[in-house]
Amino acid sequence: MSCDAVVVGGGHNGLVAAWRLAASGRSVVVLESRDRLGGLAAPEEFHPGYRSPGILHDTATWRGWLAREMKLEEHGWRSRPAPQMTIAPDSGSVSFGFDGAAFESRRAFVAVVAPVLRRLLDREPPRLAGASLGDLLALARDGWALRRLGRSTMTELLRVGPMSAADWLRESLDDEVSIEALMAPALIGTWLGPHSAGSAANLLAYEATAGEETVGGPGALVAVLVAACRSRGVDLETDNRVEALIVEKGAVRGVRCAGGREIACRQVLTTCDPKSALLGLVPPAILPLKIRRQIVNWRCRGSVAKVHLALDGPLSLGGRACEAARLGGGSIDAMERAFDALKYRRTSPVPFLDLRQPSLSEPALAPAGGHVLSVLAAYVPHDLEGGWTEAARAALEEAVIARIERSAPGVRRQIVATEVLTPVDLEQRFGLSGGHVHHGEHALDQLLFMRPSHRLAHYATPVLGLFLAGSGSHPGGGITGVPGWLAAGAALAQAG
Amino acid sequence: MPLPSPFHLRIEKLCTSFRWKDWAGYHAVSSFDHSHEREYVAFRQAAGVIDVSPLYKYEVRGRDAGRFLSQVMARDITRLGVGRVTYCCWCDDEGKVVDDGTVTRWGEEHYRVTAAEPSLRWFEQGMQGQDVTIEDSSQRIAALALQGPRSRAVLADCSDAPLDRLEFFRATTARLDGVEVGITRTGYTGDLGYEIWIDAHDALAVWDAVIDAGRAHGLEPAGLDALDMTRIEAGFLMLDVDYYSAPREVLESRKSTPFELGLGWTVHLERDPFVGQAALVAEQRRGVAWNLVGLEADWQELEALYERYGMPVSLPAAASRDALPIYRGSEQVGRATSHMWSPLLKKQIALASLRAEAAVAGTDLAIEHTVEFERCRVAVKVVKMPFFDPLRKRQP
Repeated sequence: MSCDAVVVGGGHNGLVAAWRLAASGRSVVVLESRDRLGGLAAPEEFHPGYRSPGILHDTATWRGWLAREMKLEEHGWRSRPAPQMTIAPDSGSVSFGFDGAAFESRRAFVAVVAPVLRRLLDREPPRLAGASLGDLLALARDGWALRRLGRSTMTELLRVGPMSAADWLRESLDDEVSIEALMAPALIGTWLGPHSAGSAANLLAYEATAGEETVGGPGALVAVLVAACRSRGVDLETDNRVEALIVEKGAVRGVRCAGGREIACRQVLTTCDPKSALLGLVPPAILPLKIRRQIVNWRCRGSVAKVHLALDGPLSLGGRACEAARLGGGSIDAMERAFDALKYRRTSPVPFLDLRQPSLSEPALAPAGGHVLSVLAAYVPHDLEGGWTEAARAALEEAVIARIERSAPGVRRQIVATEVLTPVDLEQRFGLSGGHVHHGEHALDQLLFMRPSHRLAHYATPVLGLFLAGSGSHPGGGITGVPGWLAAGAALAQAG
Repeated sequence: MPLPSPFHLRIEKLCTSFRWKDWAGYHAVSSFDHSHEREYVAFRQAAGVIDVSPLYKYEVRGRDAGRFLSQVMARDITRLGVGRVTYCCWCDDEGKVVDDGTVTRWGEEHYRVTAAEPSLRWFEQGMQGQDVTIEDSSQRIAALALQGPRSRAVLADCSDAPLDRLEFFRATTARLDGVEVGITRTGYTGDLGYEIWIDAHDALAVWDAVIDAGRAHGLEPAGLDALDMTRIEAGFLMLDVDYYSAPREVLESRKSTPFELGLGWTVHLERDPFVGQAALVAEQRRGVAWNLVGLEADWQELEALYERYGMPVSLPAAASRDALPIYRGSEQVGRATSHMWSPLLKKQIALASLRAEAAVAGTDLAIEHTVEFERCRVAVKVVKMPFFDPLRKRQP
């Protein structure tokens, strides 16, 4: 069997990449090792009748412009405003959303710089070494866009980027409960605490790109992407694990699947994390040691667990059924302490939870009357001291439930079933190195033209025809679709 | 502070000169006497024994061990049979040499690599999903080099090794004074000689047995000064003297490929991928820019030069590592990196890196030679190496 390009991994990035290649007339085969497409965005039954929305449950960073490029509305894609965020300190009151003048002025700043950041995050990262005239022009345009912000805004942006999220937010907000909740998206999936330098950049990136959510959540998005791919003739195969790349004279010649089947192709776009792709799929002694070294040093220490709760009724916080909530220790210090535990390979005593109740808008995820809670719990180490024993797993489950119960007394009695996925489980189930949901930490030295290394940041690799199309590439993890889109662009440019 | 080697308790009593140096973090003897000459003569006329425990040693084990080594080395180690030893070098991505050493295949799935520099990290970065483990056995395994025309007789008197059947670059296990040791017919002197690989706990017993057996054969404990002379006569390179380890160098001009070092015979290009392959293939296609060769000075000219100053020829007794420029006419075409007066050959010899066009055997060149603080030149000729290559080295 042969085709123009094989996409390894049928997650959202793989589907986007496949669509773009197929839309340009390429014959494309997507090979997914699991029994379903969607990767970390795939809904999955975890208890009879109850389905999780996907490991990643936030579709707010899925790019609207991609939906338009791919004409996803033709396949039923719809968006809606992100649900109201419920925030709750460790005990006591519950509040809804963020407000206040200081919050508004910060939001105004983000609104001004967002277009510049999106420009940076939605294209190939700037090429610094070996730049062509075109690259330099693009760089100049980025610089000009930055300069056009005006001197004070530009200076402010350059000042904020390397800051810690806590320091930055504290400049404009007093309420630590809000600060903690606002920081969450910048810290979940990183190895950073509120006081870690560079965490503000993650927060800026999130806020600049987060917009409306996909109606129906990750599952609906995956279904739409699958339909779009099918309409373009993409061959989608599940239960088909790629074991190795076939490389001859430094160029891709195909892939070999489990069971020995080979598919000949000139291009392979892999959405596996950089370690799995380059140290696992590429045969030994082909990659330069220099690059191997960089990939070996690629940091992907998983720091979040996923917990799914099946409830016999809706979770209410502060008297309202809650669609989205962030529950932590109620202060910056509490979150920093939660991070401290991670540093020493322990689970946070008071975890920070990013919680969704997707069954409120998507009743099909649970039986009639039942509900599903989808919880990203930070910080939870991959390499837990003493290992992930049954006791350690039970302790994590208890810590998560206890935290929810402090804000929603009685929730324990509603629980029908639970599923706890530690970073080790995520690693095993999804083949994620380190169990890292973003395929690599979002850190200043692992972003932009350094993701996953300055030699690999433009999706192409030293193996001619092999491209990195997953979250380990710019602009990184989360449900965005951008790495897949840009990698497909690079593949088309090379072939064209 | 350097560490004592496993033989230190014996060696320190013999080192009356107190001429110690640091070799890879261990106390090593430069010469036991104030001059190294007796040790040199022992190497060439009888036998010398030198503690080479500071060599870095790595045990590579596993089903894929041979395949793995072939991926990190310029030589195809999969061709190496059990009980055989080979000499090889390993390169970086650009085909520039990192280090050189021997690989001994002790068992179906067990190889030992020796190296001049710590190399564990370098090897490990080439490991990928294979059935391979690497153990740094540098401290665990002591080593003695027993070298010289009488070395076989010494070893025959203290061990049960089947020496008549042990060919050049072969390995065997044997009992030496009741101690289980490994013996390879290898060495750094270019002569008949053996290296004995010993569990460090047994080091002193083996030393005593070898010294006892050596009394009847003129065996001398030897230091690094004598070894340095013999290795130049044998045409062997030394890291940090004749070439530099590529990953530690910043200047491209300091890095060398195996072809440039005259190690092309150790490179197997046409095979499964290995580190540096593409660069070495490209180099072979475009031609090698440098070559490492031997030089011999013109004695008449040397004598005439000293005559001008009213002196007899006076050359240092030890090998020198001070690099000297080599000229063709007025143009510098390279440098001599190791040079010495060979008492055995009665010649002033040198190892030199030359531009390829000047590195042809028989080419007449000139080497810088300082007499009475004045820099002069002496005629040298490019010669075939090794300078010294006795038949007994390979003979059964």
